[in-house]
Amino acid sequence: MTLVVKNLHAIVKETGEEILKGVDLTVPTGEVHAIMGPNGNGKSTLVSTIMGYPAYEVTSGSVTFDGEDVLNKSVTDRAKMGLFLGMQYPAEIPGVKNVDFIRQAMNATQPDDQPVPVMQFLQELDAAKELLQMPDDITDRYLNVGFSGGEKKRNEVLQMMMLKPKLAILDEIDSGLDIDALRIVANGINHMRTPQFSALLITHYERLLEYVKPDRVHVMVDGRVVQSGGPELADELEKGGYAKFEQLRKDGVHE
Amino acid sequence: MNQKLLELVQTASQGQPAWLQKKRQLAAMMLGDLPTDQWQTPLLNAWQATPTLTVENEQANGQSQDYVELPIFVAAEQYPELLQENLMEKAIDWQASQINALHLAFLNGGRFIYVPDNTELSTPIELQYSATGCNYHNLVIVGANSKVTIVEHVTAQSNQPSFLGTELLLGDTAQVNYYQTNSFTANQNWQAVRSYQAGDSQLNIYAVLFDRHNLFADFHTNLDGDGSTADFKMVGIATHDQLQEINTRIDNHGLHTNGEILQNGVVKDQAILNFHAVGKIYKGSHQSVSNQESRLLTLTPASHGEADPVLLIEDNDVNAGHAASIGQVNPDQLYYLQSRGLTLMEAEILLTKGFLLPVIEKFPDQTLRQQTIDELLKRLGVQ
Repeated sequence: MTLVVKNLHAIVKETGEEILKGVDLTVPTGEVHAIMGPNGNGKSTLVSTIMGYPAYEVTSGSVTFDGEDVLNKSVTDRAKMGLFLGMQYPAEIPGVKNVDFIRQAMNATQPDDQPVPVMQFLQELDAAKELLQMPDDITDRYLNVGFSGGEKKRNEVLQMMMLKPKLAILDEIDSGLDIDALRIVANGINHMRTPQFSALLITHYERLLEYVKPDRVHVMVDGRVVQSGGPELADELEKGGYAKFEQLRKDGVHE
Repeated sequence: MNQKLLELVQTASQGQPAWLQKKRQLAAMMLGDLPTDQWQTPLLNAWQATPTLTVENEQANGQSQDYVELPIFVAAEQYPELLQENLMEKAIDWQASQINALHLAFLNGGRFIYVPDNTELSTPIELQYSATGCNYHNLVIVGANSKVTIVEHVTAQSNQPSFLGTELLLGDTAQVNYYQTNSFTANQNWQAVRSYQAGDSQLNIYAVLFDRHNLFADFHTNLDGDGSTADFKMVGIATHDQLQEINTRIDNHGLHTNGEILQNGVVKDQAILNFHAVGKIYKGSHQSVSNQESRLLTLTPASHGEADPVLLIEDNDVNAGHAASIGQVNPDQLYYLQSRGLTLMEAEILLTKGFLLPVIEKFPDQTLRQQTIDELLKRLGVQ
């Protein structure tokens, strides 16, 4: 269940502006990777493109998951393959109860299309809510409507825990969280860690990675991964900032 | 004057009380002098080309000690005063249009419900029957200080256009919850619910417009008595090549009367759904309220609708407001739902449900609320 991104180029459909300029990235099964980098350098575009967000268009390169082409699949089918994107700005859906949605999503992503028994579903839901310290009525509310920033993030993690994807991509799941909430969310992610589960975390800050230890850290600047390394790379970034890597990127252009 | 038409109506009304025979014949005679419009024409033409004049006297579902429910023609014999005074006179005026007049002239059946004064019913009156002809008319009279819930579910089975009419006459302080969910067979139909309200009466209408055929609907109440209130909530869906033309009007005449309209609709494919809402506060209707809210969700680029709320205010001392919106489906919502494994169709169904549910959840009767949700899922092809 390895995710392989090869020389991926993508543009914004509406403007034609190129955001991804040849991304190479591999996330093997069972590993947790983090992508760091300054704002506006393509991190969110990369993960949105992997999930199939319609505003972006791939112009060249490939994305495969477990050897299967991802890019020729619909958004729905990508989810059914076991990909999950915890979004930075999840949509608000009035009139659709959180609990009904999670149940339908869970049934939709079951490998054999077998619906999950109601009791089992409710037990799992209660357990996940407890772990994430979410109020009991959060699932009776309309999906993301009137949720605070922190509640939205937790609700993304709640969905991840319920859907049990093979690869969870979490786009700035730590932004806007206070330290307690960050710990709780990290706890939820760590709870998922098994040899069959991989994760890709997008973050600006090293703080999340103190709680969720990554196997690899990648630095993304100007639409490319400019450096990859172990968890110590995150510390280095925390101390030295991104300047060095921006320089690396410039040097790369001259090559 | 159309002699052939008159003879048809004479034959059809034989054996009925003399006043009703005369009234129906008069309607046929005056037809040509009454106003008509583009919506009425197809029905008027179809009915006159192939007249259906059978008379149905099917007995009502249940008999009760507390109220009267009779086939409309039986009621014409047993309660001549009430029917003579009220049938198509106060709410749906037979002289108002050609379609109303022909509806009366060609009447096939319907029900008369009479709830006496000071009657409170704990279970709803089920106004349910199959309509094999084209023109059915219900006359509902709720006496002073009575409190009832009525559920209208008529299944129109004719391949000719059907006109289902319902008149609601509310006495002083009467309280009526009126649910309506009719279904049709013909491709073009008409539905009218009109009411007349006395002082401090309260009428709540919950209309479910989930039929799959073209429909012209006309909801209209007159808040005549001081302190009367009307609250209309309706949900509609139009799909494929369907056209739904939904007219809703509340007229405030009395002092401190209150009219509220809330309607949400979803349009798909090439369908059209129009919400025309009018709130009129007449001069002298001081301290009255008129509010309307109409919302449409268009799921496909080819589908469309109009939501044009109109407020006609003649008095200065009133409170009136309206809101209307027509929104396309939000692509980010669709993407979000699909990214969790839902198909485009499942996502659209969920958004449709989500758009209508906030109105349905305001229906006070839990059983009817659940029935409406079930009907919604059925309409969306989920069940």
